[in-house]
Amino acid sequence: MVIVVGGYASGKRTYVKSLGYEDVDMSDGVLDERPVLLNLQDLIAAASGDVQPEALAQSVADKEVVTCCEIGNGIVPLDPGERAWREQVGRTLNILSERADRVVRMVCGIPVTLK
Amino acid sequence: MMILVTGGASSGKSAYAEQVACALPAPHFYLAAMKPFGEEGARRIARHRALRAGKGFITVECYDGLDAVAKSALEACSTGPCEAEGSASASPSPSCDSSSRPVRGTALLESLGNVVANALFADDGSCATYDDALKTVMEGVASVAGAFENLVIVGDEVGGDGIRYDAATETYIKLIGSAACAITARCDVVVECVAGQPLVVKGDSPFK
Repeated sequence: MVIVVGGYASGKRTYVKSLGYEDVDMSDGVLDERPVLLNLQDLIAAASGDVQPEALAQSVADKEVVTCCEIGNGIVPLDPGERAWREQVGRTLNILSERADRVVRMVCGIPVTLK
Repeated sequence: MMILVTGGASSGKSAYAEQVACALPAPHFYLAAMKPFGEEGARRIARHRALRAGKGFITVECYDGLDAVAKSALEACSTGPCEAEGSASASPSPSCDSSSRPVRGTALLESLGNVVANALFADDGSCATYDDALKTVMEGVASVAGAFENLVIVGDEVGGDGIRYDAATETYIKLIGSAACAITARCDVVVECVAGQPLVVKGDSPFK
């Protein structure tokens, strides 16, 4: 699996296309048979709040590429649900990236390989 | 040796910083800057305690300030299991007697965001000025850095959401950023954790 993280509009989808995938290969925040999942953070937001990160990681284990917005670099949200979501996204990413073959962070369109 | 490990929320920075600290000479001190506040705070602290369990850290609470940390560490050391844990490197054996300064070993300070919050926000709801709080933070960090052989600081990335906040919150964000910039200027190694992966942004990997 390849994990691609980065801020909003940092070039994640363009990078995924450079790996040879097309738009039809990508699902956006929903799980289906397509090999690329965009916006893992939206999938997690739509899941029930008490789903464990391990279960979330398992649910996307068959994907070839997963992209996710980096959402943890701001002020701690006042809303407990937003705080929980932020932590779920972070911990799920940690699990996925530990198992991934490659982890890339996009910086202004430039892929920085983390793993 | 001073190392800053920064990263966003739940980016794996605490776990990584612990690995770094544990690879440096014992005794290992955990300088806890987070005020235990409410049920969620208690849960966070419990999670971090579980992460550290069995790793031989001597915990020193320091949310009242960093100035007394070296003294508290020495006191904890005279009663704690300082010699119980083997040193991970070939450095001289740790010494805990109060006559030798600086304190031997490695301190893990968690986290810069808490240190800043403690300096900025008083219990009575009042707020220090930016300049005073920055001075408190930097003097505190300098005193801790001078007291231990190695210092690993866990940072916080809070300025990346592009949202405008009230004046106090923006002061808090600015302070964390300014303090981090001043600290990294003094650091031998700076690492950012992203999605659980360490990205070395200054110096060499601590595990090279």
